[in-house]
Amino acid sequence: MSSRRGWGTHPMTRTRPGQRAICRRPGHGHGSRNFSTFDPKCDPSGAEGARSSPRRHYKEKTVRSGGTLLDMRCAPLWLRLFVLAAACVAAGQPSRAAEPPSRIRAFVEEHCLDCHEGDTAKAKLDLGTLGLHLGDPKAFETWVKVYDRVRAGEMPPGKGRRPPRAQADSFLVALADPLIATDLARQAEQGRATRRRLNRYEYENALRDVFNAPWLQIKDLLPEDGEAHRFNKVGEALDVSHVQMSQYLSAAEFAMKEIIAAELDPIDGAKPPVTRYYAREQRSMARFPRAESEWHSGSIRNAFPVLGFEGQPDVRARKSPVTVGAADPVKRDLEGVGFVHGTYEPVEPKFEKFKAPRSGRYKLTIMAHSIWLGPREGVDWWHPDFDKISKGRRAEPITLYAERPPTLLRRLGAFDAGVEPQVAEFDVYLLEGETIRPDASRFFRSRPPRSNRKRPHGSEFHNPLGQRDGQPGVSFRWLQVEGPIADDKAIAGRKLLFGDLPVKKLGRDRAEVVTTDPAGDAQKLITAFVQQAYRRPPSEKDLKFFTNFANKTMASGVPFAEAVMATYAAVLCSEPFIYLDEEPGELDDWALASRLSHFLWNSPPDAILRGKAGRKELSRGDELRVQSQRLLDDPRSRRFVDAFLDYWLDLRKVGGTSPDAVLYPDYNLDDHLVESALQEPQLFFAEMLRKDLPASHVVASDFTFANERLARHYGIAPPRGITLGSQLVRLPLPANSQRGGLLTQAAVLKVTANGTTTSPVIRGAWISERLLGMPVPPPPPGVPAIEPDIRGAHTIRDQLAKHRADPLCASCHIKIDPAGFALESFDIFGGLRKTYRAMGDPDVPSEQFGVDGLRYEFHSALPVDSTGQLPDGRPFKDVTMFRTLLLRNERQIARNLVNQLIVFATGAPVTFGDRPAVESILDRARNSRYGVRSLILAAVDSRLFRTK
Amino acid sequence: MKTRSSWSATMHPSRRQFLRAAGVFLPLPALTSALPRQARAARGPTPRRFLAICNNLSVVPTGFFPSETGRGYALSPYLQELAAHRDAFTVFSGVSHPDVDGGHPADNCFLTAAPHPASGGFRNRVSLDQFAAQHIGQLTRFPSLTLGVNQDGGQRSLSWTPGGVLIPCEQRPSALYARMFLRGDAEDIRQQLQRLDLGRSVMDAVAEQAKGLDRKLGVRDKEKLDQYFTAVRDLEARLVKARSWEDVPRPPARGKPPIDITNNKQFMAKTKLMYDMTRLAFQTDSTRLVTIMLDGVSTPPMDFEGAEIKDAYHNLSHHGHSEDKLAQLAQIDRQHMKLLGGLFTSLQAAKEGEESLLDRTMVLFGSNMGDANSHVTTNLPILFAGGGFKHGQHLAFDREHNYPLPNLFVSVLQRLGLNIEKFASSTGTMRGLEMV
Repeated sequence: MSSRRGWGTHPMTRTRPGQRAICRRPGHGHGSRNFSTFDPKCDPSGAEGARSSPRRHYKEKTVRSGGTLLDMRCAPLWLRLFVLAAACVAAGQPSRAAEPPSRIRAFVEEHCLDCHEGDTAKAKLDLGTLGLHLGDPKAFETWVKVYDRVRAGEMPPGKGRRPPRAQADSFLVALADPLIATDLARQAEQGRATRRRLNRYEYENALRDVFNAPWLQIKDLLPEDGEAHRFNKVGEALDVSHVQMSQYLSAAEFAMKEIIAAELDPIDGAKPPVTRYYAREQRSMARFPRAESEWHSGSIRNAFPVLGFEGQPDVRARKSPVTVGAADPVKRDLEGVGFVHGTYEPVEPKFEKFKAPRSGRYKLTIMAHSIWLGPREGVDWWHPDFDKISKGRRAEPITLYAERPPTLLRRLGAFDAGVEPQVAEFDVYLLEGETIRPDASRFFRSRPPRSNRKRPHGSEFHNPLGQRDGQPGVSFRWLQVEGPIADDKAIAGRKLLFGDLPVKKLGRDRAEVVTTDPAGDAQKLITAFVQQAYRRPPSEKDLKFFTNFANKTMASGVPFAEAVMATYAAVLCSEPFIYLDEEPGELDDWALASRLSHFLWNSPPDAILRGKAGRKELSRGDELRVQSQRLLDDPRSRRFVDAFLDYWLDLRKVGGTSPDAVLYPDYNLDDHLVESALQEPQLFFAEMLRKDLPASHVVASDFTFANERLARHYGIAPPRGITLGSQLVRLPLPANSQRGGLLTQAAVLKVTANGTTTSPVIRGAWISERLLGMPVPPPPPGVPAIEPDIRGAHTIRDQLAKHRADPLCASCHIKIDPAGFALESFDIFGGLRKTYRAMGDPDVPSEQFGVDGLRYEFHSALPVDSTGQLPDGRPFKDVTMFRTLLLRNERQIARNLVNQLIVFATGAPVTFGDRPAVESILDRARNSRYGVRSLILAAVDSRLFRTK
Repeated sequence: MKTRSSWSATMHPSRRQFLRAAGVFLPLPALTSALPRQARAARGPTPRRFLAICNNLSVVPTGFFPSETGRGYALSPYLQELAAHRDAFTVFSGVSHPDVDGGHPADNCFLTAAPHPASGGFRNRVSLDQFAAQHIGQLTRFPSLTLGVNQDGGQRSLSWTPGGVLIPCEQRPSALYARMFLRGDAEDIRQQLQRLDLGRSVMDAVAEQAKGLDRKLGVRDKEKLDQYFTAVRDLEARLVKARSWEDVPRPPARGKPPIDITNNKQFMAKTKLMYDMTRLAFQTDSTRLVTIMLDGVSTPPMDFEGAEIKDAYHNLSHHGHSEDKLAQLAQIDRQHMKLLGGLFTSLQAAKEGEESLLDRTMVLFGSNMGDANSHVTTNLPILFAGGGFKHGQHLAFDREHNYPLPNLFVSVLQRLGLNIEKFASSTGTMRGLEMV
């Protein structure tokens, strides 16, 4: 136990008493009034004075009892509580619970009451009147805080004399028992977790799995989910209202209509059509303006014809046709459309002649290559000459998007257009109506200004990749589409809806079904549907109920197809579908299967899990462990990785702020960087899972995942022989790198900053809470946030120093800020920095140009200081040293990760009574140095997971 | 995902298309609504209405913004077209949506203020009108109307659902007229009623099934189950309410059915017709929320009385300070102001109780771009009229560091009777704008 090391202890809120008042928020302060628990019942004498003044009453008896510390009149209450608590957990619990509370009392009187008593009690925590009424959640919480403060050796704060360790330990043992007993009793009655509905990620996955349609987009049809304990998995925060219900109804209907629309006729399915779409035949690509267009500002971002590796002045001048067409297939295959810029409206090249005829699976093949354009004579050197084309000098990263009107983009993947023409293949799901948009992601993207302001040092705009002898470009030749592919998934949804009954499609998404036995067919179909949709076998009653519903609906004149679909909609809106069914106590096999799949797949259980549950095998032996391994090894575990990180690390917000155009022109508009940064932690965490890497990888690692863009961002070179492109690969970090672990990944550093500045307070609090497991009290009301000064006159640290000079503020900030200080050497996107950037032109004009093509217009201001000290006083001079200090307590890093995983997996936070279980999870994974997979397997096997 | 889902499996295509195109939020989504308490507050004695117009190619800022500020400001050249209504509107400068950039796509965010519309991972949010419709939409036959002019394919509009899904716009005044004043044919009505009935019986069924479930539930779990029952019953009640609108007779038709203008060169005539339709919708209390996107991007050289326009609107907007183009733009911009003046006049003339319709109708006219020539999305031209505010002023804010326009949206919502403190990136209500 690291008693004085703030970073190495249980998660807790530690605040000095007396400095609490300004920081109080509901649920965070001690709120002593609520804990005044004098109970007249424990006062058989009914003494008037005692009743009216509990505090005096307590004082008096303390004096009278002369240090024996156990007041006889109250003793029955204490005992009652203990007996009650102990009885609730009767078996299996250590008998210590029955020990008298004298040790608690003695300790409190001797060490606490000097400060924590009466009207002047520090932090308004009056332990004199705080009974051990642990059934009251607030009193319980307060005692847990007392426990944690004493355990951490924080009391009394400052230079006051601490209680002898042995006494403190004995007190802690005595206090822990009733706390645990009470907590477990509560859990036995209600379960740890509150009954919860599916969140919108899970609902989407559920519909995708039910209908076997991985392309269904449902999540955004549903309102945003409530969040508690950082996750969208907690019953208390997952509310349902009529809004939610109406969206469920809409989503269910929408899904069924999409299934009908996407269904492939057997004739279609026989052989998926293969069509080649030539770039030259796309209106949005082959626009070769004759003259300088004012939209394209000096025509530097015109598209241009490329034939092989040569320009085509005739075609560009429109003296020759745009394409030779089908008449000359050999030449046609060499024709391309070239670009020197990335997509930025209104120049949005896409293969618009292709529109996915229906939702489903497609194989895309795209042919592209890089080129080089010489400089144009007679104008500024960075203008490209569209006729002076040669082979490219390097491969160019291209991002492929699916696009629907109005400009709704889905990223499909990325590839590298090589120096030699080559094809890239994609196996993707497309939505009906989507077209394909390739985007040369390294190239500049902006609307070049119409008037290129000139200054003494030259133009304000040019292609940032331009060199004196030219600039890079890319030529797209064609896109080949195979699909929609009629694999068994393509008809699974239709089969589920209408079985083998003949279906006649009416329009896009309506169907008419022919049946000679409506009642019989309805019964068969509905039975199959409910079995597929529900996560436990439906009762006969339910099946009958839904069948009756369909029959009644048909009787009211609704046609068969619509009646069964209305019934399906009812199933998908019904309580057993929307809510996870768990009952207090040990989970049965079905609930276990559901909990496991929603943990590791964020989806309903598959057929194998259902089979195991049906045979009651899941709860037996080490089957749960075996199944966990299987789920983790399945590609669907990526659903877990993404969903978990979306909330744990806020990755869903990675695009939420964008870099300031003036201060960060190197990041501004760089979608490729954002997308790469998002993938890094996802791949990294997936690797931790796959390889059972130690939890310490949260803060430290000797590798990361990067592509060329990220490696450049981080300033790391790939090992010899490896050329980085658009794909992220596992890359060793240099020994002296400041990078390592999730802690210093760009996405984490981005979501902890805004687009303009970083704040050690905001970043520090985020890191402390999420990565280190050290809860931070919320900011006190009425204290304005410190706004960093972007003129460069002061650093944020200067400003904070004033704030921290106030002891009231300092008490929290010594805990919040260290992580933030250590990370000050990283800018708003996690780029390494030695100085801050500030508004205002530099003294010497910059020779660098942003992604938007504009000259850098910030200047380097004051130097960054990333020194600091941990709350316990240990100093660090930079993030590397900070990391080394953190690594001395790997178990705490692992403990925090387990705590986060437990919320995600079970829908309830780790409470006091759960702590021993968490410690035993940690013990079981100790041999792997707390490997993430080991932790998950141990967690799944723990009481926390196996009971509600 | 073009439309919110509906029981359109039961509708024949023309009907479905019509409803879809009408941009009328049909029953289910319409009911994605309101806390009853807030609805009651809004139902109060005075109906409040809101119209938002976004001209996505903006107006030339030098012609639009007054150089003086405050109440006694001198009207700018363009605003002189509105001199008669000087005390009925407020003009703003130095306002914009924080973090909404990206040039043209920013029109998607005119009423949502969702940041960074041009970025790859962009997701839009609920628009002001749809947010309000959640609360007051059930008070009228149409929770809201989403309209457009010269919008290619109707695939864009100012209105977005809470899930960030676009609501297509209606561009045909004739369809709007029919929807407002004419009952559908018997088949349409039958299908619409069937659809509502089915939705209701689904809710009825799931409630009944849940009641029959035999479960061991703790106190907290029971609360959760109760919440489910409440939600289901609430939705059922709202479906009943929606169905009852079908039985409420439509208002008597006013005027002649409009004839749709199909020539996109008649941009201004089409705009005027949409303004007329909006006034009709408000006058008959068919809806209280209307949005109109005036889409100039693909508008050919326009044709309107007294003007000589040679270039397409989009091309003109990139005037590059060419005097010729600026002169053409000035004609267009002045025409916008004239049409707006006409709308104000007609709303002023229409009485509702003691007040004019204009007193009860907030009209927001503006653009997603501050200057179409340079595609900047800051310093937006914003004009705000009617609705019961103290107008007649130029509220000028810092043109470098803009004041958040979403604050005006909060003021709008509060005027509509909603107890709302925040919308998107707002920081409060619009400073300097007071209710009468």
